[in-house]
Amino acid sequence: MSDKKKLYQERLNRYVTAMDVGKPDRVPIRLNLSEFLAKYAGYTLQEVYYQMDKNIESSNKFIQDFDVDTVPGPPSLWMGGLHDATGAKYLKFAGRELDKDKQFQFLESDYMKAEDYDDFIENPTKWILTTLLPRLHTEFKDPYRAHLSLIKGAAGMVMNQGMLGEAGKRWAEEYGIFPPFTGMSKAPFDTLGDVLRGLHGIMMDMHMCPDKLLAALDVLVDHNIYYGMATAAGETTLPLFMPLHRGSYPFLNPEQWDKFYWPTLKKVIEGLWAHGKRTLFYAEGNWTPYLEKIAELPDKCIVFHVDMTDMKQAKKILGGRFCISGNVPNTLLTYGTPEEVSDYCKKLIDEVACDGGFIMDAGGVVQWDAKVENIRAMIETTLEYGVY
Amino acid sequence: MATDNSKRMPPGVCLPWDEKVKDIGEILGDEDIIKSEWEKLEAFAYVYIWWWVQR
Repeated sequence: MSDKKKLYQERLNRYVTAMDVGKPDRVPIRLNLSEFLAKYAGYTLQEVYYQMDKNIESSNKFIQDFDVDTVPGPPSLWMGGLHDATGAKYLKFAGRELDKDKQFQFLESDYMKAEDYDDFIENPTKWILTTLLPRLHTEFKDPYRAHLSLIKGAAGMVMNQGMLGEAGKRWAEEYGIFPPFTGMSKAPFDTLGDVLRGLHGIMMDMHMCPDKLLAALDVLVDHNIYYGMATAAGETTLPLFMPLHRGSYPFLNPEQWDKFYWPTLKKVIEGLWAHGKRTLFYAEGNWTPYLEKIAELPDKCIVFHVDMTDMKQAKKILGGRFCISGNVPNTLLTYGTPEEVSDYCKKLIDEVACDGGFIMDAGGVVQWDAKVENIRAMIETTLEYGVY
Repeated sequence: MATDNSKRMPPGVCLPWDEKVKDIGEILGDEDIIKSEWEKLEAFAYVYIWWWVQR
């Protein structure tokens, strides 16, 4: 076995052991670094949003220089050219409408109207293709351009996925590193509340048309399970990435959370688990009031990621049954000193990681503004102090 | 509002094979081969369509 293969296997075993709530040789390090990788590699955000080779190269620089167990792919989730080809109007990109080093912006709106619920419920796939995309994509202005945009959009997705697949093989072979997750999906409430109805729209729906909202959420369960497994290509060793948004307290009050958010999210997680797929429950914001409900899930079926949730409560209620990850504050990584970061990591290791089932990570996705010396302090502290 | 998901288009399907096969008419060879390839592209089209909302 080559050194890199051995390293890959050691890192993977460490990560999987922690996800299974066991105690590996040391605390694994997963860093969700995003746009930080571009800055570290010396690329502009326009370059990584638009040029997929530079987007991928950004990760190479970081994983050459730092000993981490896993880092999610390249910094940009998006392919700017693909969005131009379709005229997708819900994203603004660096170098186009924004300065070349500005983070992308999402333009939230009610792209789905309240009166669309019946058609959405009847056949959501058809509704997205025939109603939403023409609204969302300016290239649908005439049939010629609409057809072109579908060809280019699908081709762009294949090109991007192909490059990412090749990069993943290279990262494994040359650096002994694996992706922290495979596939993604969402809570049904977030599928509706993020891109389709927007926050304002879905908040109104809970009062104005709750039955239709509940019916739409119910329809989404099977789609979100399928989408997760399809985007993971059936892989089940690594967890699925599920960024969770509107379920964060206090977007919803507890009654609304119990009625609208949790039941269908629980079904999606349990459905994935029935396929052997664990969920990285990436709980952005504060989920402290809901920890008892989350504890109803089958053992080990999630990795509960802590952003601003009370870590002590998370450990008390979920620890021992679910792996916990996080929660070095992003503000600390941006405004703190290396000593402060190191102290925070040591506290996490002492109080949360002590009996295993813990993965070191930042609270949220690490953006452009984090200091390199603080990222280094986080990694070095965990490597040295996180040995069991 | 009750929903009956069993009657709806399942995930991964945009245009069901049962509808497509009517357009093709009589199949002289192995239908399963043709169906299988149809369904692979169906799944890709489905993921592409849903990619625009699952973000």
